[in-house]
Parts: sequence; C-alpha cells; structure tokens
Amino acid sequence: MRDHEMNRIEELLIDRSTGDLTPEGEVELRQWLVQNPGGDAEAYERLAGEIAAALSSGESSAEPLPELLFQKVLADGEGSFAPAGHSPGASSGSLRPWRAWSGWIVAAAAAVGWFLALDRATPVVEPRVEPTLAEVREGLVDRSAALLAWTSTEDPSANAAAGDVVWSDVEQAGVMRIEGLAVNDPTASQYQLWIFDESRDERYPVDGGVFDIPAGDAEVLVPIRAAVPVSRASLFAVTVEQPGGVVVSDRERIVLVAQRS
Amino acid sequence: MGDGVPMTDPVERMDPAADVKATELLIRVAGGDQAAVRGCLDIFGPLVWSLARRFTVTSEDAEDAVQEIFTDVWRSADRFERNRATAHGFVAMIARRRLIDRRRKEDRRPVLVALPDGVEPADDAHVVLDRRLRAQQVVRALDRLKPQQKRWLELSLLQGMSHSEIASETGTPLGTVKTGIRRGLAKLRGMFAENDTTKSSEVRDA
Repeated sequence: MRDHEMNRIEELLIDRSTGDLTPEGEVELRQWLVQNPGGDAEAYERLAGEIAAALSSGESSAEPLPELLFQKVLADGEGSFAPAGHSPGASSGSLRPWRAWSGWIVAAAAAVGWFLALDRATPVVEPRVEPTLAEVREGLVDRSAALLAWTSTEDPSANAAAGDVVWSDVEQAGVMRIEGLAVNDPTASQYQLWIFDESRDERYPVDGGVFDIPAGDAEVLVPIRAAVPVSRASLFAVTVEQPGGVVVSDRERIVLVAQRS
Repeated sequence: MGDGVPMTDPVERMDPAADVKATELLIRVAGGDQAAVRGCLDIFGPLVWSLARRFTVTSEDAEDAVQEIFTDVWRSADRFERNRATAHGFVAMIARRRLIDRRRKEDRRPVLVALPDGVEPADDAHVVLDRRLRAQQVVRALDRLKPQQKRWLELSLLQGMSHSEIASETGTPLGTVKTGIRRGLAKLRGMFAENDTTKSSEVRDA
C-alpha cells in the first residue's frame, strides 16, 4: 500500500475511534476494509478503550450501577443465556447463536499486537463448534420462536420472492430465510431489515441489519441483528436502501413483509 | 460538557486480583456461564455507567445505553483476546462503540456498517494483559504528549466530546484539534507497538 493511502486509512480509523468519522469517511473506510481484509481495523478502537478504561479507573467519583438498572441488566443478561439442554447441539449454551452473528461484528485480524504481560495462570477457553445458520434457525423454531411467512410486494426485486422469518423476543435472535429475491450489487444498493416493535413508535422501527443477496443461491439464510432490544416484534419489513443502510428509511422500496397475527 | 472529574492515580486504585477476576469473568461469559453475569456487572458496571453518563444527555438515555452495552458485551465476550486488550479495555471499547453509534443515530447520520468476519486467533492465547501495567503505560504515554494533545484526548476519549465540541470548549481551531488528536493517537499507538516489540523480544529471549 502506498504511504498516502496508508495515512488516509489510518486517519479514518482514528476518526472512527473518536466518533468523528463523517458519512463519506464511513463509506470510504468500509470499501477499503472490504477490499483489504486482514488488517487490524480495531487497533485504534482498542487503544481508545484502553485509554478510557485507564483514565476512568482514576475517577474518585466512580459509582456502581443504580440498583434498579443493575437488576434489569442482570435479568436481561441471565435471561439471554438459554438453560442447559435447550441449545441446539452440544454444550456451549446460548452464546452459540450469537457466534453465528460474528460476521456482523467489526473485527479484523492483525499482525501487530500490543505490549504483553505474561500470566499463565488464567485458564484457556476450549474452542467451540459454531452452529450453522440453519441449525440456529431450527433451534429457534424448536424453542417456539415466531415463524412468519414473507409476503412479497410488487417491487421488481421482490418478484416471486418467498421464505420466512424466525424471531424470538426472549432470545433477541432470529434468522431470515429468503428465496427468489433479486441479487443486489452491494456498491449500488443493499437490503435492510426493519423490525416493528409494539412498544415503540411505529415511525421508528428497529434496524435489523443490512444484507446482500448473492448470485447463485436458491435460498439465503440471514441472521437478524437488532440494533436495540425488541420487546415484541409485530412486523418485519425488508427495504432496498443505499449501500451501508440508513438510519430512517423513506420506505420507498419495500420488498418483503411478514406480520405477526 | 465540563472539565471532567477529580482524578487520582489510576494505577494506584487498581486491585490486581480484581483484574484477574475481570478477565476470568469475561472468559466465563464467553463460555455461556450464566453465573458470571452478576460478577461482570459488579466489576464492569462502574466503568460502563461512567462512560454512559458522559456520552448521553439524560439519565434515561444513559440507562438505555447501559442495557445495550451489556447486551453487546454478552454477545461479544467470545471475541475478547486477553493478549491484545485488558478486560476493562475491551469492555470500554464496546461501550464507546455503542455510545458513538447511539450518538450517530441521534444525529440521523448513517450507521457504520459492520465489517466481514475476519478474526484470527491470537498467537499467544495464554498471555494475558495486566491492567495495572496497561494503565501505567497509558498514563506514561499520555504524559509524553503535548499537554494540549493530552487534554484533547481526554476530552475526546473519556468525556465523549466530538472534535468540534473540543474546538469550541478550548477555543482552538477545529483543524488544529483534529490534527492534534490524530497525531496524538498515532503516536500513542506507535509507542505501544514499540513496547510490544520489546516485550516480545524479552519473552523470546527468556
């Protein structure tokens, strides 16, 4: 990579770590990272986290979580770990479906590490077997998650599209199964899922993630990543949006809808 | 946003045993251990609460943010690599990312799209970063920056202020703040990388 290109990417990564990345910068960075996988894209975010943690630890005013909030987060956290025996497959518990979302998580490998300190006393976690999306979907269905059929609209991309969406309010997890939706060019447009939550204003559905339909697959399984917790999902809608998705959709191109009765 | 909070020596305030416990709890959560959730909230709650209050305007927003952050922590715990980050640094990274995302959404700006999965296992999975050592290095490294740069980084990374808010707060041109922060962080990363190389050599030579 040329120096000026490397400097530019470093600038963008730094701006992202401080929350000052512009929308144009986001697009530029995303495109570069897609084209150049394997770099340490999180290095500056990690650095920012370490600095924030180090400085926070010096605060004389550090307070624990308020009791009510503590209890709520505790209940949510404990509830999100499925009881033993309810997970699909073997032993690893409900984190396994979450692992299947790892494609959505910002992370990249790196050759350059950090300064090291040796402590061999800490136990090593055994590697776990990740379930396929199909297994995640089956597990959710087995645990009585909502299973809703898609209805396609008259949008040209939705011609003959079908499939279903599986979603669990309890586990905050879900998988879309889609057939026949038009293949998209990710540099021109992307599909975006919206989840309508009964507890929220319907003008502001929850962002369920951006995804693509690749060529050559008769059926596509897509994990649902709700941006915020969903109390009771009442309707799912897939729209066509600009690359990277939008915060608020103009709903001009809705291609699929699935409604809970 | 104000001038921050009274600070004491961050390193002195740390309990090494608590740091080891924090790492172990995060690893247990990654393994799906429900019983580790409470311990994580005890240990990481003050850090997350402190960051959330700084990045948000109302208590309600801060509470919502805390819930979202911990949901992310449960989901992402299995990505924690203890030879690359301290447990507190990892949680702070997740918290800051979520808080920045929330702010972007409030601004109706596009949300950063996640990247393809590309995590590679660390070479030395048995190595764990010591939080006291890290904090010491962070504090020393910050002290090697220009006072202005250090101040801007504290306002940005701890107080959650944007570059333009810092410019306004400190009466400095925006471009100067932006360049100063970029150079400061790049310099810090360089210092840590240098340190990393030294430590790695020491380990190899031992």
